[in-house]
Amino acid sequence: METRLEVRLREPNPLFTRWLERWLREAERRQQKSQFKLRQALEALKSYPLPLSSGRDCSILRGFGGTLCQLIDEELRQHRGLQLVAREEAPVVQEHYEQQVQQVIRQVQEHQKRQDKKPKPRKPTKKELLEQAALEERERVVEMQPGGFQLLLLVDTQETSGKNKRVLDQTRSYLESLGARHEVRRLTIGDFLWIAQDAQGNELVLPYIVERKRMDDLASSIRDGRFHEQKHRLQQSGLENIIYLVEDYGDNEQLGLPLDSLQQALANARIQTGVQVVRTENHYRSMSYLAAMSRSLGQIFASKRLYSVQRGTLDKSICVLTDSRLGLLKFRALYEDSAKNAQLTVREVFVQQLLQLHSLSLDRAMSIVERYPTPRCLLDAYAECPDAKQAGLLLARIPCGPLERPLGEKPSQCLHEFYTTHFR
Amino acid sequence: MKYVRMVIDTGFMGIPLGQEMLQQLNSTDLKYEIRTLPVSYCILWERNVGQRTIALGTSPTGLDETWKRENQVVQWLSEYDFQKAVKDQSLVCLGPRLQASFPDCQYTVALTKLRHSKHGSSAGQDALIEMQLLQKLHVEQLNHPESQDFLAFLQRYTKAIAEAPYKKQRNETLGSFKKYLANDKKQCVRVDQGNGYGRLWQQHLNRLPQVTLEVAESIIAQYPCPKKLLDHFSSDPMAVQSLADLKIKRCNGPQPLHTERRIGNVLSSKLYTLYNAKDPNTLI
Repeated sequence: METRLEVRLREPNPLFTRWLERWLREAERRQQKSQFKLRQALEALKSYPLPLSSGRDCSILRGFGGTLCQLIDEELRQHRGLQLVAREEAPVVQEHYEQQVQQVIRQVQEHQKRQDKKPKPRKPTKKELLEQAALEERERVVEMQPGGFQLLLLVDTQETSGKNKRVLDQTRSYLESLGARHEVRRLTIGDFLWIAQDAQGNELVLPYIVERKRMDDLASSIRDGRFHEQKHRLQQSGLENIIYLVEDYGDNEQLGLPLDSLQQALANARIQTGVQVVRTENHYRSMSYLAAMSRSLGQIFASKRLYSVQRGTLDKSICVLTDSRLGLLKFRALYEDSAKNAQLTVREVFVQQLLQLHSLSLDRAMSIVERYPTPRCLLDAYAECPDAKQAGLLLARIPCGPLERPLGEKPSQCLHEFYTTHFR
Repeated sequence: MKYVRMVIDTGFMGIPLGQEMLQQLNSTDLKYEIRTLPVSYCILWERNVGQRTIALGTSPTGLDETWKRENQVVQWLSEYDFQKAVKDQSLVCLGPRLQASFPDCQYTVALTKLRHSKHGSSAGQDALIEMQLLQKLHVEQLNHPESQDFLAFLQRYTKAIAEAPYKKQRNETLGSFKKYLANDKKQCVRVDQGNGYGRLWQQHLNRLPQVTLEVAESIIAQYPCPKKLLDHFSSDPMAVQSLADLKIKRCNGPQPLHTERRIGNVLSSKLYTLYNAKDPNTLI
């Protein structure tokens, strides 16, 4: 990149300047009239950026009359030892000047090189600023004193069986008629949450999360496997008390699964996952329960002091009964973390792909993924094998399942062929 | 189920519910024992861990089986006792009392279903909620006929407890996966001497939520095997872009409101990530 340099000599005419200064001092001392003109000439000379080679050249400047120029030339002659080389000196002076300029250019170039080697402190981009701000927000500790916050029930926008607006409106009208202070929001986890809000707008989440399930919903989610996924996500949320609000669907007759299976699934959830199960007869009773819960929570938490914690440091057992000071998650943090949890990872897709092969059971697929967590890892391993035969047997000896049985040659070769040959 | 038995408090024998329940219990194959427990009307569970210790005197075989206590306790509360406790506010003692006698367990209180007052809430309801919130007790409300409902409830619990260790192991591995995996077994592909790879490839592609039938078919038309797609990714520096521009063949023919006839950048980069990422936790 080209840079424009402006080179100015600090003292382009040191000699002439000295002389003029000397003469000026003398004139001032002797109170001569010439001092005024001298002063003018000196100023002009000082302002002039180029070197002048003789008194005659000075005549272009203000204040330099014929007499003064002659005086300078005289002085110059004496200075040079009676050798006046007026014209020939010009190129020498010019050359000297050029040399000096070159020197300056070199210095500037070297300086620039040094600058380039040092990493320049970049101005943070807008995205980086936002990320920084978000991180600070997360880390900032929030404290709420008793009386300094209000509880609010959050209702998920999508929470309804059937997911239509009519049911959401019904939810809201029931809650309103029951006097439960609530707000509809998009939640990334759960159907109902409680937050403590303070005057500054901070929001801490109470350690209770409610998932409302009508019996027909429950049945279909068990059948397509969402039930387990949801349970797991609820466990991962960091909210300790998971409550399944299970609502009857008519007389629970046509559910798609036998009632007994559903009840067993709920018992399993209680015992194996530690989930609270609350049964209600209808939508209104469910909302009534939530409203009552809001009231109870309001009473319980009125005297508590709350502070924010991050999920890693969340104390596993908050005893709402005895602790006067409780560590809670920030709503924003919970929202973002849960949203991330809902996304698929490469590992998960890979396992699902492997399972598509009939001869691969869950145990076998898991064992493969333990060693080669992504398709790329497996493919690279294949590439590193000395020949195709070895590659085909790469997975054959992997121990699978609690009995540690080897995967087997057939599935191993099958996978190898699938990934590495042009079968069509 | 063979290895788990219930331990029932002797108190049950003295009440009609208990007697009915025990009668019905005998016609099932659930194992149980009756003992006097520190708290009346409680039920515990024990698991046979298989060890045998030499008994002194009592056992007919000369050997005793070792039973390990499970961490579940059910306490039955009669309607009368419950209402009384609500009135004199002694319900708060329920949890601590159970904890003192049976430490480190999960406690469930079984009681007769409460009648709902017309106003929607009652002292009973609120008391139950407080029990759940403050004392972390589980509550099971029993329908009529109580003894039958209670027995069915106990059966479910027994089954859940019996299966708990096996499920725990499974859930630990499965739990980290978003979609429940075992379900997919119905659609899986049998590969027989190289036949079926095509369908397998299609099913692989379908694992991505964005891949519809038409999308899958369009990809397969261009890349009939994974190797072709992988070669494309490794050889072409603009691979993601050219894949994104791949046209989707719509079954319905050209339609007036056509938005996406391309695979698109999002799906294309997801596919690229899937087959090139080395970090298994990379989000897709």
